[in-house]
Amino acid sequence: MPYDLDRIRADFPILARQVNGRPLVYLDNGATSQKPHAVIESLVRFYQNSNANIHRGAHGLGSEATAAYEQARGSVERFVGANNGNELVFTRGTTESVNLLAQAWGRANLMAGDEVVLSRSEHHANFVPWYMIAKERGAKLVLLPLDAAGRIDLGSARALITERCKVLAFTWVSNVLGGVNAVGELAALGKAKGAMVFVDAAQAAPHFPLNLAQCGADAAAFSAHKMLGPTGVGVLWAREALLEAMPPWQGGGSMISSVSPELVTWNRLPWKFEAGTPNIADVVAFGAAVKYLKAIGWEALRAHEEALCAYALKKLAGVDGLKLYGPSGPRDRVAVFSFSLAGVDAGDAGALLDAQGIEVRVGNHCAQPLMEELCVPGLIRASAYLYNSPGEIDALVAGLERVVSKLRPAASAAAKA
Amino acid sequence: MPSLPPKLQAMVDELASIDDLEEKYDALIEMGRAVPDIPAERKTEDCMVHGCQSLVHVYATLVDGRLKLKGHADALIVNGMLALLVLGLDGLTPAEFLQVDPKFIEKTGLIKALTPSRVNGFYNVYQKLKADALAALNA
Repeated sequence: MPYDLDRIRADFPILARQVNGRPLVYLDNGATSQKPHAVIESLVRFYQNSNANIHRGAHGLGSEATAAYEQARGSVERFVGANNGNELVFTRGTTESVNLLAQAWGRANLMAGDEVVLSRSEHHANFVPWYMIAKERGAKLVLLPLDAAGRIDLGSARALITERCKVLAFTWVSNVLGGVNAVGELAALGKAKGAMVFVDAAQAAPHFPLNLAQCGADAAAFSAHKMLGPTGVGVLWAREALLEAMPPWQGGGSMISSVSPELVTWNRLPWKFEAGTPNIADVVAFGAAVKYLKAIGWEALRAHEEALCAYALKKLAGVDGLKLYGPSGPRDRVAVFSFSLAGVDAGDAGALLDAQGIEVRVGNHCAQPLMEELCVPGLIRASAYLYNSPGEIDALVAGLERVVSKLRPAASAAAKA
Repeated sequence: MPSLPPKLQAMVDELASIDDLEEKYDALIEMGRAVPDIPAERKTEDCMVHGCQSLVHVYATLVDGRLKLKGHADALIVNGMLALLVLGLDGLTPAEFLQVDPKFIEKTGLIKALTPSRVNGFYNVYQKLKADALAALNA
């Protein structure tokens, strides 16, 4: 069946609005995606019909809400190819997932002299929690360098991942450069040295099937809001044995089996890691997002994004003074494009694009170690998703050309002459 | 809010009169282009404005009892906001300078469009000039 872009776009009410008097061109999907009617309606429907606290009480409404919440867990579990629902912990987002793992696993396993191996391209969410626990435990951070295309360099990884490596944590897809890292190979390097391997899948989960049980890593995290779901929901996936062996992180209701002044015992997985009332409605709506993505299908989604990616790379290459960072070809990358414009401040470009209704991200993209590596103060990032059209890429390119003509010193001097 | 010094009032009125955001930025950038760059030897740490994403230098000196305001930002929109201060408030006495409430920026209609870091950047530029004005007053 052909990819019906018009029909898909019609499912996202926000895409019909204007910004600053211009039609919205939303190209900040790396930050968060927009939501289809199905997700918005799921949220409303839950609060109107099924709202109650879960995993407690003796009333039917509570059972209904519990069933909806756990059904969403099952949908997500199947969607990402986990072995079973026990491996899937709902959190507030990728950031909380990494903090949970770094603290709960790190406190129980990291010792002075151990190495925590990350990459140069980590988002702060997969950098700062490891930095914090490494400081606390006296462990050392090691950063894997990138190759010319901005992917983690496998040759260096082979040399730098040693027996001292207790944690290997890296991003599946760079939120800045868009390159897909060789997860299987990297995970194997870490496993061969006995490390716990964690993958930040926040920028991967929206774009291709994760097949977590087969990915080679021990744990992964992603956020609902980058894949059509609501904000405030994320997932920590980890192999059951790892979660079983790990002490709980936060204490409170739901995560316990029994409580007495002398002894507290923990609940079964995955609830051992879900203290307190979870974000029930948003988890249920995440289930609706996954259902929506499934209905589109990975094959169709990938074909659309790859075509869009090839088109965007070709068009962006024609913008005067544009320097793209990250893979230059459409293979093994997602439709995330970070670039600089010669002689133009990224913040100025972002503001002037916004004035034209084109929403991109500018700045350091929560990846300061990478910006340091690239020797740039900040970049402009356009990130596309399943509802973006070639026409919007054209609008971006026209917008950038307009920005260059307005802002570049030479252009302005010529205009005045 | 007491009335603004005439030069600043004219600049604020010009920006406020433009509804279209792109045209508003154009006008702001033009204002910034009217600010003379500062000599390289003045682009020092003590003239740097911290908390800005782009490189910003600004300073005030006292000449015959009146403030001479100078500054430069690498980013053109920031430079335009800086122009409101260094052109709009140039030549005031320190006491007159201190009468000006930097909240005048809200009347330009720029605030709702700009990122919080840029708005903070503007207030940081103002605070740096204010510190220089106070130092001049107490010298």
